[in-house]
Amino acid sequence: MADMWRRLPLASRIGPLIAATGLITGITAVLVVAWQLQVVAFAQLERAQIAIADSAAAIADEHLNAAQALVSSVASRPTVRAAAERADWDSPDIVAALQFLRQEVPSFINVGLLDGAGRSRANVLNPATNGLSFADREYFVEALRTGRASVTNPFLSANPVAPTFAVGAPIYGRDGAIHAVLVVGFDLGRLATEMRSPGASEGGRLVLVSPSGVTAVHSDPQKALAPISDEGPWATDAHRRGAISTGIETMPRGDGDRLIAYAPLRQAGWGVLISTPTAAIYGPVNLATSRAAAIAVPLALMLGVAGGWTAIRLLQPLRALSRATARVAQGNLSVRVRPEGASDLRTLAEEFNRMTEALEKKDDEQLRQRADLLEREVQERIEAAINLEAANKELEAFSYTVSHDLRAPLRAMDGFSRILEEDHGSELSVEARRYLGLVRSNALQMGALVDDLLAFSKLARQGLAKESTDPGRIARGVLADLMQHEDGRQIDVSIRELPSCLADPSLLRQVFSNLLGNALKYTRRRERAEIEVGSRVVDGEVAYFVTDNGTGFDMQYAGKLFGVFQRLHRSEEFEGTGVGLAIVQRIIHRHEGRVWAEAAIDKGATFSFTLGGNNGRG
Amino acid sequence: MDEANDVVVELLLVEDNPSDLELTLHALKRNNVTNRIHVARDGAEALDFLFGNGEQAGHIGRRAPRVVLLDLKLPLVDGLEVLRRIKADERTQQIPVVVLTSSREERDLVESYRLGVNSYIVKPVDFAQFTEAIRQIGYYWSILNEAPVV
Repeated sequence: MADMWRRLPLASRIGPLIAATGLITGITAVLVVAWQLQVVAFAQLERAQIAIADSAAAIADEHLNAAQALVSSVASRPTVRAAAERADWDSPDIVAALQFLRQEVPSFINVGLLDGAGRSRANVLNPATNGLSFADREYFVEALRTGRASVTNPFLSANPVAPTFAVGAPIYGRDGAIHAVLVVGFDLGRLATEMRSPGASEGGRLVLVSPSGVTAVHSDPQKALAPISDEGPWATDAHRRGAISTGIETMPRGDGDRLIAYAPLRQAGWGVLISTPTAAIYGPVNLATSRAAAIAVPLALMLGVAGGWTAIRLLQPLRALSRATARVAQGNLSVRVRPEGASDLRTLAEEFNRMTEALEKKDDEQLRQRADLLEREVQERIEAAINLEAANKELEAFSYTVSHDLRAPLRAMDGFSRILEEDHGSELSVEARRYLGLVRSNALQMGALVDDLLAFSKLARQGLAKESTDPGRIARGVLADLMQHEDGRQIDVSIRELPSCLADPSLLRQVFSNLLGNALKYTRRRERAEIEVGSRVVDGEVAYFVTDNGTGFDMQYAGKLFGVFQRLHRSEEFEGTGVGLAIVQRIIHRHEGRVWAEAAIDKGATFSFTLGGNNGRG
Repeated sequence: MDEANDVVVELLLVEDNPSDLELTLHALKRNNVTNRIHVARDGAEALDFLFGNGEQAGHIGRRAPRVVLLDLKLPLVDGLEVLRRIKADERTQQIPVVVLTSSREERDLVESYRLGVNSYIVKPVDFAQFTEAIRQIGYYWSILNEAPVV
């Protein structure tokens, strides 16, 4: 992969490189900005949350103080104090006071009066509870203990059923003793509405916690009266400390992190928690990030494409130069490039042009020299060819002359000897007739030599006409011809089925004619001549062989066997010109085959030949 | 042997080699062909005999030879040219021409047959075979003897 990249042309590499660089820079910038934004946003939110918590605490304080002040002021009314002192629970002053509180403040969901012993004496909503003792209730206990109006922890009131806290205010007699406690139930639902901040973020929670750690107000109404520990350990701890603070709470059940701001009320022990999921903080930041990315990434890509295109444009002269160099390498020296583009590339192009110009000049000269040389060579070749043709013609004329003129005197010698013998034989002595016979036989021998020599020289000029040939059929045909001259001899010949081959049939016929002729000749002294023609595979090639049980020869002289006019037997023993095997060898060599002999004196001879990959399997 | 001009020559023998000439005549004699043989010693003489020249009329038409024995390698005009002229002239093209040559050259054989030779005999060194070859000319002889005289 990396290797592939390295092999890409420069222009193809620069574009993606610029694009990648742009992309990486863009993404890094976006990430840095996003991180910075997060830090800033977090700090801002922290401040905002504290402000919200503080203002919510102020609102809660106001309501609590107002409730306390109002209940205190009604409990301090002289008419109420006098009636309480008299234990005149049904007095119009008390009824009026209770009615006032009930009607004047919508948050007061219940109003009642307990006597000094904690027994309910006047309950506006629930008269049925009159006479029952509430001496153990916080509002009664605290009123007696502190001697002034005090706020209770939140609880669930029975009628109406609602989360509530109570304010209990002692009613003093003129004697200075507490004769009754005025109790008001404060509707926490209303308080929650009052405290709800319009600036609260999505998913944000507002919690008002009482001194005992009970949730008085909760944005989720279901959670009113739940313990503060539900808001997490940090919140619990912050409430215990009771100071303005912020912190991160990791909520259980995968609710995510929340930023919590705590602000205490002036009312002792109370506090407000503002809790916001951090996702809500980061949401806008993330949105900003993705918007930045949405701009930065295409921008980087565009930059890359533009950069790549510019690179290609800038490198265009370089590519032209590269193509021109390739053409020069192919030998075209007339190549010139147009100097264009960047100044250094322009210089390069000019240098290139100067170089090719110089090369061309040099090349022209070399070319001219070479052309001259070539012309001379061609001239020489033509002359040589003409000479060769002349030589060939001469050779042809020579062989023609040999054919014609050498035979004519021989014919004359033989002819006149014969005529002398036949027409004047009676006039000649026996010795004279024997000499005449010798003249004739020598003339015939020379005739045979001339014929064989001509045949041998003709082989060099004759073309090969190869075709699919059946050597067995040729051998049998040759044998049939030869056997006509072998009357009265006992000859066993076996010609096996031979694989077909690709060869010139007339030349192959000549080969078999010479080999079989030799076999017949050199077995002449055998009572029973045995000749076999067959084939076998030698070194992966089909080799044909002709074997006989004749006189054979000494392998020492095997090298001379195929030479022209080379004979291994005296002509008194076996007649012959010494050309037959030379012809065989020439034919086999022209077929690109091999021919060899194996023999021993008086043990017969085997002549084998291949046809140079053209034989067998064909 | 040298006939008068108006005597019909039965055989025209074209041969330059004196030995071959004598041997051929000897062989012909052995085969009982002795009469009315005209010998031409080169191609030009053969053509003169057949087609005439400025001084004498040629032996064509009624006086044409019945058969021509033609050697190929001849002085002046070679045998193939003589053959070509004989076969190209409608007055002589019917005359059987037997090429009697030493040449075993294939191109001579091919060219002779292309020109319309009637028989092609290679003169063997062996005189016995030579005599046998001449005997074959008797084939044409017998045909000619039977052929109506024009």
